Amino acid sequence: MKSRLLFAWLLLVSLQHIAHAQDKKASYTISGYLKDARNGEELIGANVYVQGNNELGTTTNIYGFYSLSLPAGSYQIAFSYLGFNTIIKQVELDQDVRVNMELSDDNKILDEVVITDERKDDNVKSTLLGKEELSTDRIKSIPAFMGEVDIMKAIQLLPGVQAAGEGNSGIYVRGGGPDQNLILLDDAIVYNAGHLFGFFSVFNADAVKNTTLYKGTIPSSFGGRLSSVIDIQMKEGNTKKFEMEGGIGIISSRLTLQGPFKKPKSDKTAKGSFLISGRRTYAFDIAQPFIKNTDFAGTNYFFYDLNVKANYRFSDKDRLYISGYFGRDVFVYNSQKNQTRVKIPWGNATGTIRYNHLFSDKLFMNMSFIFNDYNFSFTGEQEDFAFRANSGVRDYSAKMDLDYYLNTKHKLKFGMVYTHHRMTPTQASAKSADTDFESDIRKRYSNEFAWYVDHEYDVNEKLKFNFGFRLSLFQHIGPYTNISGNTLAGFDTTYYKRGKPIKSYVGPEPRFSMRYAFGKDNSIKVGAGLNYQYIHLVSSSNSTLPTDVWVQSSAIVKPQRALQYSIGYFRNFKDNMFEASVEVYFKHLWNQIEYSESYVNEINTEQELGYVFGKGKAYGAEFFLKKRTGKLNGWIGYTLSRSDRKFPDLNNGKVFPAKYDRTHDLSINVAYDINKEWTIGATWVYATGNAFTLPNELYFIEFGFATGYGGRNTYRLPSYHRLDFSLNYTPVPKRRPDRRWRSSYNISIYNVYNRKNTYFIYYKAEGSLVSGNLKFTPINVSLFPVIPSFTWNFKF
Amino acid sequence: MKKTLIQYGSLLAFCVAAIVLYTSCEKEIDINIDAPKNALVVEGHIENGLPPYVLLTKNSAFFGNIDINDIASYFVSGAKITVTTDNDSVQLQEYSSAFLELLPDSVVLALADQFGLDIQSVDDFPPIIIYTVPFDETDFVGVIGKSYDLRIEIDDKIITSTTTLPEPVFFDSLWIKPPANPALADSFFQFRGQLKDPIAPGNYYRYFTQADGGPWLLSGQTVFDDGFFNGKDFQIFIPKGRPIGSFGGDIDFETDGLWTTQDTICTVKLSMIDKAHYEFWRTLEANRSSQGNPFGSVVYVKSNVKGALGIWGGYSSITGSYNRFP
Repeated sequence: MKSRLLFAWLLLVSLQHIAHAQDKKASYTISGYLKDARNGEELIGANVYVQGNNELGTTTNIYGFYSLSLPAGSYQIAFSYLGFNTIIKQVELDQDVRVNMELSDDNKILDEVVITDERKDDNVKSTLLGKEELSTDRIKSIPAFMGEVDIMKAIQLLPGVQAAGEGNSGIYVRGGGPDQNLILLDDAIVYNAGHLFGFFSVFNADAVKNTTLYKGTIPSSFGGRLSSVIDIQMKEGNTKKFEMEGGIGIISSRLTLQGPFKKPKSDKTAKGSFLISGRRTYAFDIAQPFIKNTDFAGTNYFFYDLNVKANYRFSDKDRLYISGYFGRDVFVYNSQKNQTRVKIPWGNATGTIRYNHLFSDKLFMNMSFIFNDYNFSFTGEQEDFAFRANSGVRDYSAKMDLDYYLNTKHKLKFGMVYTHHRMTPTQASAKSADTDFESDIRKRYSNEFAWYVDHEYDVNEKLKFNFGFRLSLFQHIGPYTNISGNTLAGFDTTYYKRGKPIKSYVGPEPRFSMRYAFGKDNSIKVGAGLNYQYIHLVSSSNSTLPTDVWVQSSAIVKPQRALQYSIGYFRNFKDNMFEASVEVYFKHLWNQIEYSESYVNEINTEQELGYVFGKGKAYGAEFFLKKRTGKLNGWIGYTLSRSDRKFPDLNNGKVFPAKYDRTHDLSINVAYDINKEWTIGATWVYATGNAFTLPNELYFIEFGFATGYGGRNTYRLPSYHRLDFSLNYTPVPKRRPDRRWRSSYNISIYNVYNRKNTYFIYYKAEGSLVSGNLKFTPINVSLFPVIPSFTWNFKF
Repeated sequence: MKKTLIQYGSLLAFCVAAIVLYTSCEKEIDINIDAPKNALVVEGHIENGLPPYVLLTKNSAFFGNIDINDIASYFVSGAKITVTTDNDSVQLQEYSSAFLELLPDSVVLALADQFGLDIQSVDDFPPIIIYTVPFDETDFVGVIGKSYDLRIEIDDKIITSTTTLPEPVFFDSLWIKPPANPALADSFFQFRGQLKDPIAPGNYYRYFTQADGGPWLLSGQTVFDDGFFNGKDFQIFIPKGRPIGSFGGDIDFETDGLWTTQDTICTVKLSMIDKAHYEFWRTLEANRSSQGNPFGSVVYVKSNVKGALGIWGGYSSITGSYNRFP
């Protein structure tokens, strides 16, 4: 361990020397932070480039930091970010300079700078395929289901991303399963991102600054999942003034407080700031008076989220962030008459400590210490019987990322991450009268290491490469008792002590992407990447449930693996007002996991014994047209795709469509700013119905019936389509336009034309065979009709 | 006034919540389904002290041309069925219900009993075909600890299976107690037993209940294994089942499994079965209950019969009763 630390230190020191050596030779560096002038929030992915030469440029990292090394000289440096005015600053580069800049959407002219409305053609010029950024402001203009602004549901509207089901916030990306998406909140993994069986996501939009989806070539700094990364950054907290905002809707209420620790002088930013944001549902709380005097007094359901964050800048080179999330769903059922009490809480908790340090103007480091936990528990009592079960996953991680801005042509990002997993399978205990029961399924432990390097190389105006390599290592470690054998042959027991490796896997994960630009606004991008996944969740139903259990790789469960190739044509029109792209992808999937055909969940049985393994492929074409600016903005995304699986033990070994196979998927999302006060928005989605399996065979056992099934997933639910509408009204106080108290109102209508989309189909059996009146009826169940909602938001 | 407003506010919120919960809409639909491959279905059992029997039927399309209530049309005739144990074997005799009168009434009623059929006389027997021992070999009965091989020959098909009769286990004591909800005590009661699971793991149970000598009744889950309570000595609630082969109807969850005060003699039959036999019922019951459950998944029934669907299962049973008015 000591030698590893020494090596890391030596590496850093030598990099600093290299950086300085580079400086002395030829160039100087302009670096700094880009912030939002309104609240001092760092801007992620903002552009900094030499005016008139877009190729000499860079983007800010997730901490708002940029670094651009240029030969000595005089430059006009442009700072731009979508929705903000671009600032152009004259810089004399005869030494390294630090320029921290605040961007604003106000039209006031500042000293030394020129405001233009120039936009940058990131869509065409970046190398990465399948990357989409969504600002929370944009997400808030999308019609919201029951008034709840939902980041995950906004992501569902992007091409290549499918909704997991009616009203569900779960996603399937490019034909992959729900466990193949890495959902990160300030670097911490969120293992279950849904409330109320997935109808709402756990992310309170008021606390979220930025959301980035990677579905193509995933940068090598991310790993551990096959299909996508959803990287969500929480707001840092306003560093300029104290601010309160909130809202009251039909489902929940929200309140966010943020501000500087100490009020800064004039327009400066404070050294530190905080944010506290909470949300809680109350529909059933309000119902409590009505059930207080009934048998069900105390029965309730609610969920809540709490986001907290604080940051402090110790110096221009050192900054500390502490952030956390805590959310729970709680269901309580009481029946006094039956002496029954059931309580089911579940939810996530995450905590992140991040320390940023600038070794030099070119070398930026972030160290993170991360904790995350997902836990589901069930306690039930009736008379003298009590039952308890719980499951979950808990990780401790340490991570170091370095951004090294060599010069305008080369940028390196490298680092390492270590995670200790503790997976809790469903552990049950019970008490019946005087007898205690306890399952002997034990927790499992593992180490996951990864080292990565990512090299961005700007060859010339036309050609740009991105080479990445990630090396991952997974170890199932002790304590663990392995029992092999059977009742007839006898059992063999091996005990592994704490930390002792039991089974290890190594994953070399090369990633590559390339851009070739041509013409004024065209480019072609090519990408390929190999990904390993060591933690898995197999769900038997269409959506993930809170009871679903994450399982780590083991001697039985090999890591999932995917190789994806993609190619895309990108084009901007009308001075970058419109972005258009066509991406085609092909994905090979290995070691995919499903439950065996006769799997029945049993207490006290290792879940992995119910798995079967196979391979898959997914391919498709995604068409995307986005209008970025103007009164009318929005996008159209269409995906034509296929996702197949082949398992020796499923469907008689024949290929079958994956549950996530969806031939057509179309999303249209538009927002129109009528004026400064009124905005209307609409979303229309259309998708091929989900693939599902129907019984096709009937036979009799014990004068009852059993059903046999035809081909797996050979039937389709009717196609899904739905129109949502929203109206936002943000009155500007006419008498006192500078008044701090502001209200806004949102009316959303879900499923405007009341389409009865199929939620599921089942067969209802009635009667009796012996009596000669047995009858089966196929039933189509739809869930949400037209649902209007109203939300009042306020800000102070 | 304020109170009234709060009440209205609460009522509104409650209504919104209720609307959301109850907005789901069901409607009947038509679906075209591919026909399944033709298959034979075996339902055969051998129990300690009882002769083996086999029902041989055909599968059908989920919505076939055959009337599902026309039971007779599903039964298959002309099979050569042999049951073998150690050096002893018997070729089963085919009986259509018309020929059942060849068998002693006691055997017919015992068969009906095994099927859970509520019949008083041979005449009420449904129009089915049964393969069981010839009337002169009724002494070929299940013996605890033995394995029984099944071989069926029909047309050019051979169907085989094997099952065992494990060591039986029964409740140490049986008793009744009032239901958890005192308001139900006038009409219902609970039936309970004290069960001691053997020390060695891998015990599989199936149970049947009977009220006042009526037909055997089955609850929603009739099988359990000792994975969670291996070697324990514990109390168990014995739910009163429902007549076999009955579906639909509203289940009153408050009283489901409770026995009624009209029941005088509560009987439970506890059968030990082998693992493959257990897995058949476990998957069959999951197969049935996954219907109509949006979060349920497709479960294929795990047959222990080679060359056909179905079950060839051995039962080692012990029956005991509790008489409320001895």
